[in-house]
Amino acid sequence: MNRATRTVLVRVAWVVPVALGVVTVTFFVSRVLSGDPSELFMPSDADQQLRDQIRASMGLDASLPVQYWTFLVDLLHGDLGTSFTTGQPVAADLSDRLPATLELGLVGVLIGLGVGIPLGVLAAIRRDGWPDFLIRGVTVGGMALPSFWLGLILILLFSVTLDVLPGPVGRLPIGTPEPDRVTGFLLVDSLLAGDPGLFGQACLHLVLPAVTLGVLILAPVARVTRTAMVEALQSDYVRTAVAMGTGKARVWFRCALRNALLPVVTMSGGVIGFAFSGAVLIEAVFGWPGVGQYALSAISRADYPALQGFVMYAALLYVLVYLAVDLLYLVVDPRTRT
Amino acid sequence: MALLDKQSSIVDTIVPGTTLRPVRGWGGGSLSLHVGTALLGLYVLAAAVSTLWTPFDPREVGAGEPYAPPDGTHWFGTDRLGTDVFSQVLAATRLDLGITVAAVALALTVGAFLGTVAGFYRGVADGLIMRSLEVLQAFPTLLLAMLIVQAVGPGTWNVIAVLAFVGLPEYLRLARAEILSKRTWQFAEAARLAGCRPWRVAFGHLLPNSTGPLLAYTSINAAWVVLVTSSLGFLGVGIRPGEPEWGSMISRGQSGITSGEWWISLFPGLAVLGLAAAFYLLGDGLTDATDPRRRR
Amino acid sequence: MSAASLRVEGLTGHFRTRRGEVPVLADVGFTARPGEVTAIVGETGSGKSLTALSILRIAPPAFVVDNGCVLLDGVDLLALPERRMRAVRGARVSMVFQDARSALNPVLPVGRQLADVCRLHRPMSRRDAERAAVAALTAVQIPDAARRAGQYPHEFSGGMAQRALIAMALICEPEVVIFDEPTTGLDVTIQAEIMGLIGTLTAGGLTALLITHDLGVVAETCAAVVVMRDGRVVEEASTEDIFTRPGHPYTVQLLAASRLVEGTAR
Repeated sequence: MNRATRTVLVRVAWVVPVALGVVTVTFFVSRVLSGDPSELFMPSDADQQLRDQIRASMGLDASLPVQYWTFLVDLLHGDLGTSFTTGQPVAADLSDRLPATLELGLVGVLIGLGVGIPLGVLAAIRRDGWPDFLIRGVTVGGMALPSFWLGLILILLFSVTLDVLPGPVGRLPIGTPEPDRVTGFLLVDSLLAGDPGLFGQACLHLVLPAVTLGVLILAPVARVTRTAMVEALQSDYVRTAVAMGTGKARVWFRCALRNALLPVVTMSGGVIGFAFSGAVLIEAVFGWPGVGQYALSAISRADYPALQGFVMYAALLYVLVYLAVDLLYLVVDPRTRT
Repeated sequence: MALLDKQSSIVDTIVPGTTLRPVRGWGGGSLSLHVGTALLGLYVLAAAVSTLWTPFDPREVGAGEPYAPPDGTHWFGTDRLGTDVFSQVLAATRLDLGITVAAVALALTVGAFLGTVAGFYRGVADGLIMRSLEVLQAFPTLLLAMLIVQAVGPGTWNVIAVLAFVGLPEYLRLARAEILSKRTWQFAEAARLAGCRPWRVAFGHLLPNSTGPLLAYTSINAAWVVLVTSSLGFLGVGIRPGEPEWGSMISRGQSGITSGEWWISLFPGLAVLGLAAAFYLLGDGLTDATDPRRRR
Repeated sequence: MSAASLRVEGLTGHFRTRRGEVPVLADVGFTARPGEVTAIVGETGSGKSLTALSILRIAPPAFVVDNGCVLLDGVDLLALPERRMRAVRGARVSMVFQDARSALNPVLPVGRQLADVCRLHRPMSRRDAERAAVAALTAVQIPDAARRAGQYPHEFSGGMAQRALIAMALICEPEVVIFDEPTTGLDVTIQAEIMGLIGTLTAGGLTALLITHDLGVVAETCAAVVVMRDGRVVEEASTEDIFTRPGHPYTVQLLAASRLVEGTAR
């Protein structure tokens, strides 16, 4: 097999031990450090026999290695345990809420990349000019913004003061029933159900949270793009292109950008991981019923199976996303193939 | 005029980037450096001043009318209990800035140490450390911080320790990379030949020469700590209730956003934004100033 | 390949810096004739590379020309509008840079880069351009050109990349080619091959300008020499004259330092 294939296979194979590590760490942190979860279910006057019964029913009577093993086996069957608060299997809870997070995350990432990359390119091309100065100022501000505060300010501005967008009540106006669930994505399902009004509502409710996420993403993306683009524009190969008579636009986009986007690809991994692991604070501020909110309530209610399930989902998501980015890199940067 | 034509046709070159336009600012620094330093200085000043004096007692209930909008007496207005918001924001500077400085210093020291060990001694220790890092860095940072803080319990020092822990992997990587690339350089060889013990070579010679990237990262790390500290405060995790902190102030003012008392959340948020921005600007300014590629 | 002479007259220019204007070129002038290699020699900082970049008008934006002209067959390149100058670059006057591997775009196949240059100046289908690229690579004696055209710059050795860059410079059959230190950093045998290639090209009528600090190379292949120092042309003569009857004291110093000429060492 050739070098490239081998690199790919090695990279994919690494996912397993790392995933195992993630899962193990999650298990230990939530079990060992958090004390005895059965305490939550103990009536205060429970006698020892009752205590033992409750603990046994939760599987806590076994030794730690056995608990760990049971945990792993369950995991492979897709069983993430049962949530203490909802009483449902955690896996079901997560899959219920996942589309909301993914829908928000997807639009947020599109805004972030779609605005961030062009801004970075513009800043690099007009380096040291006023567009550059402005963009650099804006991006520093964008990175320094607390996400939850930005959300609140946008709500204040657009919902309360200007009253053009709905408030932080979630994906749809209060009391509006969701369309029949096909994908879980409201934008898709409402169209499939033939309800443009609902589609419009879903869009309006998506705007502010997605923009909040988008702003947070576009700031660092614009910076990285700018730096990479500036470096590309000063490179020898751009000088060659110019020397051969290539025009401005071609030099910028064909030559420089093609190279400048490489670090942006690497960065996108982190961006996507962040967006899809539920931008917890944004969901909290906008009342968005995604996995982020689920995790938040799990923490405050000491719902360990739920929390554990979420943390594993998020960590494994990152592992997979970085894998995808690494593989994508093999495609776009020929130097990595040799 | 012909000369002018020549001038413009040559200046209008496609390749930008090597412009020698003077960098804005005075002295030797760039605008970023100056603004960043000034802003940070403002916060340090605020923290220092607040230990001695604030316009009102930040914990005093009923210092003014509850929910009073900003005016001449209460510059940032008052909150639900009538406590002066400005005083609270000022007092909170101590905690937020303090946590930041402590967490960054801790992460830097421990990260640099471990990174040096990994890079210099390599072998099993290196492999173990690097794999652990990968696992650690797979977790979303805010949640990891929250999880550990919940597990170890609330308290300022716990928060500092957790934030340092979550932040140190990058320092570790940077230190390790520097050590790895420099361990074969001549000055390391010279030290070894002069009879220095290995750990002395590592910590006495290699590490001091590797501080550049590490220090450059501190400002990014600091900005992150500011944001995560306020996030934890917003979520009510880790910070003791009653302790003035920007994030928890924003949380208390959350309902005010929709009901008209916007000032309770706005000003603490601006404080967070300002401090984080100060660190970013400072970092930018320092990178600019130390960039070896800066033209004459 | 049509022949044309390149004549630089009175080129004067300065750099705009934070501390004001720094004059860097003063009254630079020389002639490069078709069918021969004209060398521009001088030490670092003499202004030779800057002169070359100015001919193509790709010097850094901070460099400003105060006076002078660059005549290609009588047409002043410095006076052309940018659009017309773009048509000159690569098609009538080309430049080959040092460090070929970094001068090529790392993410595109080499053949593709050559084809792109070709299609830039001539209306041509992609297929034809690719064929022209392979032909150009073959012409610079790169073995197995068709396969090489699909490879990336990092897969080329230093010498081969230099040839590929030369191929790119030649693909549109320019009249003048400027070589900026094309052999620096390459093994001596490869250097000889590259210089041999340049010799073959000029034999076919090309006007070549060779910027170098290596007098040995000059002695072997160049017909005329322009000696530069501190932004000025100090001497311009045929190679034979330079080596046997150097006129200027600086030229004598250069020769002595290079130890190519006996009896001039002090």
